[in-house]
This record gives sequence, structure tokens and C-alpha cells, in this order.
Amino acid sequence: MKMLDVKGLNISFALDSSSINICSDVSFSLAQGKVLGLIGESGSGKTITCKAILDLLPENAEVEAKEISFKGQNLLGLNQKEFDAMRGTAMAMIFQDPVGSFNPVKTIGWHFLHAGKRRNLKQYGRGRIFDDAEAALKEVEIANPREALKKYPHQLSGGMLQRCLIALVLFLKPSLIVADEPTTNLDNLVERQIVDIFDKLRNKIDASFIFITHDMTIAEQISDEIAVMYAGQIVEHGNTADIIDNPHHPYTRALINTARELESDVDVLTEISGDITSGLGVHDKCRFGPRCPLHSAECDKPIELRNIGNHGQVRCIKAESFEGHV
Amino acid sequence: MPAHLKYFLSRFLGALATIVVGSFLVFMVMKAAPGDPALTVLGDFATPETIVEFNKKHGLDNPLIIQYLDWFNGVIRFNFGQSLTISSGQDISDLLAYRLPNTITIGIYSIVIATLVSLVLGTAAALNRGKLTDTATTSFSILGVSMPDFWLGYMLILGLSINIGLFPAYGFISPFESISGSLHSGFLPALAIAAPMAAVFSRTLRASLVENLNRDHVIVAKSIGHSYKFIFLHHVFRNSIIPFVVVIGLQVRYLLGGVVIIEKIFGINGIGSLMVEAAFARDYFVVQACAVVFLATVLVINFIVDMICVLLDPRRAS
Repeated sequence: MKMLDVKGLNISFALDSSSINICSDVSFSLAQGKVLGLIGESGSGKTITCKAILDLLPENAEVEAKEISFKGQNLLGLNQKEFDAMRGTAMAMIFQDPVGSFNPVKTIGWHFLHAGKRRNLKQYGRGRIFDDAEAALKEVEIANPREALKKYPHQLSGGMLQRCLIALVLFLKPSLIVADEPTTNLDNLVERQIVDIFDKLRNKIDASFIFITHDMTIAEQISDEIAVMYAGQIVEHGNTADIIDNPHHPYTRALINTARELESDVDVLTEISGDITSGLGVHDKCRFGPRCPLHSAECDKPIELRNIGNHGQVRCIKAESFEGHV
Repeated sequence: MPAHLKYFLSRFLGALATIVVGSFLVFMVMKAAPGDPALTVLGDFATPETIVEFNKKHGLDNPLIIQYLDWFNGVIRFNFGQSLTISSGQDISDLLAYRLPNTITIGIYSIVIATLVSLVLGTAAALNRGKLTDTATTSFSILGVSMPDFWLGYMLILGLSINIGLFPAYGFISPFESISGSLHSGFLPALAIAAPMAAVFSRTLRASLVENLNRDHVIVAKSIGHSYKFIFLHHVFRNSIIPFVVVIGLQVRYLLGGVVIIEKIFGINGIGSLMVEAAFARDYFVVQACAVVFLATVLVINFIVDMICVLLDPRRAS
């Protein structure tokens, strides 16, 4: 069953007199129980895309799409109240900064108590809600959940808070979980632990995940399929193994090479020259063009996302020239 | 809670230390002021003999530090000595006991008015950022801080009292006589003191509401599916109250400055007008007593504000 189907998503932000296009023609779908790794560098539109799906963008965002549907239900026509009813319990998001994600003047328990109201647990009272909360906290390997519930956010470390936030989302039992670079603000050891928790959870619960990251190694470990974003477009999408072993887009290929170099401890990493701003808001040619080693005059036209191989899609007219050699 | 208790104790000891140091400064400043208490009282009858006798009677021939300790010893028992001018030696503590309730009433009255007005204006401005309501409240605020309180006081008398006759122009009914009479006769002076404070309070509230509206935990709460009403109350307003209370506490100093002038304008028998009258009459002991009362008021209010803040914001205790 299709959990999520996004077709032709365009996002712009209105400024004082003009508007700036951030994402264009983003399309992907996600099956139940699958994990999609959404990968790309900062500013590529990963977070904005997911926030648009959950209708969490600020007021000046203009979101258009041919279709955004969740379990077959069209999300585009929903009003604020109908969206509130779905957020949290049907689809939820885990954010980058665990410290800022909690209200600093309220205890962790308070956050669970009120999240419990979203699940209509109020009738069961505090005791039952806290029992459920403790179970969720155990799930993310918090040793003493009862104590954690009594703590204020400033009394816990970033890693602990990220676990609490993951637990809060688990506690709501949504069927789609967006994890937005949940390990970016944590140190390496804690990052490892959090990724392992996600790896364990995805097999244990029935939810679909969108895991946003800029780390190819993490995406490889935990996702079933990978979508690579560049400058607001999906440039390649396919099964994790296909993408890793046989990338078709020059950008994906560069990302994977960098990840491999990191693993093998080379002294100097290969850098993709230039920066992402050269591709933002470009409509009449390939957005990766200015940084692409294969770039030629033929690339200076609008490039469509097209099927390649058995299941994959790529947004590059020269993708075939990579066939077979990585 | 031990963390709270520790905070409470450290603040309390801090306040005690401040009153000792502060009262010493008040005492020394009054000593350094020009003039001589003996001459004030004896006037034309002053002879070297009568002056020595007067100084001996009031302990003014002792070393300064002994004089201070004697005086401070009285202050902590609410015994400030006798006035030099009023009713030929009335107990200053009686004067204060009679006048302090009037000043406290006006002070609290103006804080309540300023707080209520700024809650409405600050929230309205924050929820309508960049729109007409926001611009209007900003303009009001600039007007509020720019108007001197004595000028506003006279304008209010002219407009609401002399022309329309809604409120009395002069005099104040003690809250012990009639609470409604006190609220009615105290409205204009309280409003004159409240206007500039309301301006500062509403700017503060607006700024911290806007800041808290953009916090990450607000988006997280939204992503959980909490309603806008819930998020505004528990994540935005709740957190914005903390700097709001701090600023109210800080403005108390300003309020006391306003009270001195406003009581004089509206003919209120309070500490502020007592201090002004005593200063003109060169009644050192009364001025000194009023200054210490103002000092104590600031300390008590700051202490209360600190306690409220630590209850509102658990991060402060640790």
C-alpha cells in the first residue's frame, strides 16, 4: 500500500516584492513500512519538502502540487483543523535540534501528558499516560524513564533529549515519521546510538520513515530507497543498493565517492567545486550544470526526471555514460 | 526543592546586605548635604551653647559610625526618630504609617493598570505583526515613553477632571476610609504613572511573544497536532511572561520617581510628597527615612519578582 504519494510539488517563498522558488517538481512515493533516505547538501530543499507535506511551513510559503496524498487521502484540500487532527497521530516529524524541541520551562513528562491528549488517552488519566510514555522511553533505550519524565529539558543532554523526542513521536504511534537529520547536532558516538535506534525501530514498528540526512553512509545503513535532492529538485531516486552500487547522476556519484573516501581515511577529500546557490531557481537548464564535469551545451535546457534501469529515476541526459563504472 | 531553597536563601541574604550598604550610603549622603539640623530647628535662637546642647540631645556629637549604628538600630525596629519640623517633633514612624498606605495604593494601582493595558496591547501587536494594530500600539508606546508624567498628570486633570468632571483634580481618599473612593480619586494619578510603564511593558511583551512564536518547540508542538490556542497559551505566552515580569520589577524604580512628582501634583499625602516637603523644610531625618523606605520597597519588590521568576522558569534555580 502506498503510504505517501507526492506529485509535482513546487514550493516558493513570498518576499516583500518578489517570490523565490525553493523546490520544483518534487515527486516521490513511499510504500508502507519502507524507509526513504532523503539526501542532499544544505539548502537542497530536503527539510522544506517534508515540512510542506506536514503543512508546517511559515505563512509566506506558497505550496503547489499536482497531488500530495497520505494513505489515499488528499492532503491538499485540508484546512488547519483537519491537519491538526492528522499531525502527530498519523504523521509526525523529528527535528534537528533536540534541545530547542522541548519547551524549556516544562518537564519532559508534561510534553508526554499533553501529547497523550492527542491520542485521546486523557480518559485513562495520568498514570496510564505515563505508563505508555515510559514504555516509549524504554524503546529508545533510556535507562530510567520514570526519572527522565520528571526532568526539565536543561537537565538532560542533547542525546537524551533526542531520544525523548523520538520516544514522544513513537508514543503518538504515527504511520509516517519524518526524521530531519536527527543526529546532526550530536557527537559521533551518540549519533551512532541514535542511528542504531532508528535501525531497530524500522524493523519493529509498522511505520514508514523519511530519513533526511546529508550522510550517505547513514542513508545506506537505514533506508530501503534513496532520493537525492539538489537545489530543490530530486535528481535521482532508486533502491538503496542500486543507488550505492550504480549511481547515474554525476552529483550522486560525487556524493558516494566522498563517502567512500571518508570510510577509507584518505588525506584529502575530493571536493565538488562551486556551491549550490548556482542552481537555485534555475528553470531553463540543468541545475547541477555549473558544477558538473560532464556539462555541455546540450544540458542547457529543462531536464526532466526520467526512468532508468528497473526501478530508478534520474534527472540527467548523460546518465547512461556512467553505466557500469563506478 | 533544595535548588529553589538555595536560590531563595541567596537572594534573601543578598537583599539584606543591600539594605545595610544602601542605608549607609543614604546616611552618608545626608550627612554630606549642606546645612545643619541644629540651625534648621533653632533658627534665630541658635547660640553656640544651644547648638551644642541640641547636638548632644540628638546624639549628633558622636562619631559618624556610632551615629549611623544608632540610626540603623532604630530603622530595623521601624523607629526613625523625630521630625525636626513637623508638629515640633512628631515620630517619623507615625508619619510613615499614615502616609505609606496611600503611596502603596497608588503604586499597586498604577502597576495593575499598566499590566492590564500592556497585556492587551502587547498581545494584539504580536499577533498582528506589521499590520495596522502593530503600528498603532508602537506609536502609542513611543508617545507613552515620551510624555513626561507631570505633564501627562496636568493634561489628565485638565481633560478628565476640570472639563468633564469625571474624576477629582486634587486630593486622595485613603483606602482605609473607602476602597471605591480610593480607586476613584486615585485613578488619574495612577494613570499618569502607568502610561509610560504600559508603553515599556507592552513593547517587552510584544518582543518576547514574537521571539517565542519562532522557537523550535512551537513548530514541534504544531507537528504533534496541538491546536493554535494550546500552542499560544502553553508554548508562547507562558514563556513570554518571564521577561515581562522581570521588566515590571525593574520599572518599580521608575515608579517611585514618578510617585514623588505625581503625589505633589495631585495633593496625595504619600511618602513621595512627604519627602519633597521635608526636603524643602530641610528636615534631614524625614528625608533620610523616606529614602530608606524607598530603598526597602525596591528590594522587597525585586525579591518578590525574583521568586516569581524562579517559579516561572526552572532554569534559574540551577
